[in-house]
Amino acid sequence: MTSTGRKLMIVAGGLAVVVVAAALYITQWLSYIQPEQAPAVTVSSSGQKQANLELATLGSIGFTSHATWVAYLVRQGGRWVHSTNWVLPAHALVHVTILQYDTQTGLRNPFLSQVRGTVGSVEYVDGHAVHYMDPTLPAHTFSIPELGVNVPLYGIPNATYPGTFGNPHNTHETITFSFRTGGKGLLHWQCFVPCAAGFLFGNGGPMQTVGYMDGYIHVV
Amino acid sequence: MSTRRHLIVPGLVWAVLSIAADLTLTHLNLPPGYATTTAAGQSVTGQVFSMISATVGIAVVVFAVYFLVVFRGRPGDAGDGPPVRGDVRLQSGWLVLSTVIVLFAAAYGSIELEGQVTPQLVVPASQYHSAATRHPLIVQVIGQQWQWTYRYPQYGGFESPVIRIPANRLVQFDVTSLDVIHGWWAYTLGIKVNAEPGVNNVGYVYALKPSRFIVECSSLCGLWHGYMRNTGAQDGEVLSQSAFASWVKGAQRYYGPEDKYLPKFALVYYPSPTTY
Repeated sequence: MTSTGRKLMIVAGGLAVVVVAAALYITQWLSYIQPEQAPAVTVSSSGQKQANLELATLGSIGFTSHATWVAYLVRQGGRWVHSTNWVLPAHALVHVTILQYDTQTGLRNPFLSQVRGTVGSVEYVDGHAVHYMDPTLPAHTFSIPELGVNVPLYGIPNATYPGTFGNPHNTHETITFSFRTGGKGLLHWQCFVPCAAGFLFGNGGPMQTVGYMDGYIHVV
Repeated sequence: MSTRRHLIVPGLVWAVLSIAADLTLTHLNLPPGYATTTAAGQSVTGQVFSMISATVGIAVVVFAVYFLVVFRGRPGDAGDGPPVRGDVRLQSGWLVLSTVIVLFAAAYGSIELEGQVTPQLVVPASQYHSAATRHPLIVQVIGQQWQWTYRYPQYGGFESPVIRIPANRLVQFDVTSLDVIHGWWAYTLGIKVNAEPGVNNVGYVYALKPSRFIVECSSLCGLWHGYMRNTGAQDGEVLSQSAFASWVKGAQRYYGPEDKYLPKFALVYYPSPTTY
């Protein structure tokens, strides 16, 4: 082979390596935003589409390479799944149930302790209607800024029990609320309590990693 | 062809093309638009500098193409070109012209910049001494990862996730952050102010008519920087003065229960802790 041919082969080989690496990187990134299966959609007698979303918030997830990180889990197909990318139907009423296991941390901005964007601007904590709360009490929030949804999640007051599934006292609160999705699109949701222990401002680590305290909602 | 004709021919082409380009530019609706006096000033500045740039750019292209074509080497011509001599008039001319353009740009830019940071110059001349100018509406913009919220200290200090401002009244934005550096950018209002923790940065706007505007974050601030915007249902709005007054009443009722938990209004806040 001539020296020019050899040089061309080297350049082509280098390009191929770069293209494959880029494809792998993009594929891995796409996998972060791929949602799990969509919840079942029902239609009420008035014709309103409805869906249920069952979540859990844990003080430490207990598995993955970041076992001590705070995390959301979603229940799908009867089992808990580690994913924060969900599919919801458009123009539907979504009923959310959150099993909240984590302890109180408090909000950096007290304004975010008001329930907004839900039906009736209310959440129910163990059956009690709550419209706003002391900003030192939330463990996390469930917020979709594009929809104006902000739900502070009341924290477990007793720090004795670890905020995980299967703790001896199964200590958690059941928080329920409903909100309406708009048209199709890709939304982001996040927690606004700076709950990432050990990180500057509490906003690093799980707060900035999809799969823990934030994710995507695909409205279809 | 005489030297004079080598200047007149491309000169005429340049003049015709420049006039056509500049006339076209005066009819274009350049961004950011005319929703506020600041935005209008920026749009006009964009037009003025585009016209200067177009004129200079066309001159460069026309003369370059003309000389490349007219003075190209012919096939078989291996001789030297004519001797090149300097021309004091030509050199003085383009030196003076360049200096005039640069000085004009510096003066224009300085005057425009002064007009955007001095509140009395943000309002139309007829409003210099009006009550709307002497008592601007103050809106505090608070950046946090990853949402903007707004406080209205003159109306009890309530906080809101959406921004509403009145038309025909000077608005002063006091911009700060609770965590990292953000950039508050209301594009069609013609204003961009850094939101920095522990710092109060101030900007002014005088909106001329009711409109909607998008707010974005212009400083990379973390994972959801791209979603840190008020858009769609959360659009910012310029309202008429009566509509703004109604909105304030409704917002005070809706967000009022939260007021007791908000810190006393201050230009900067130091929420704790900073590490966990």
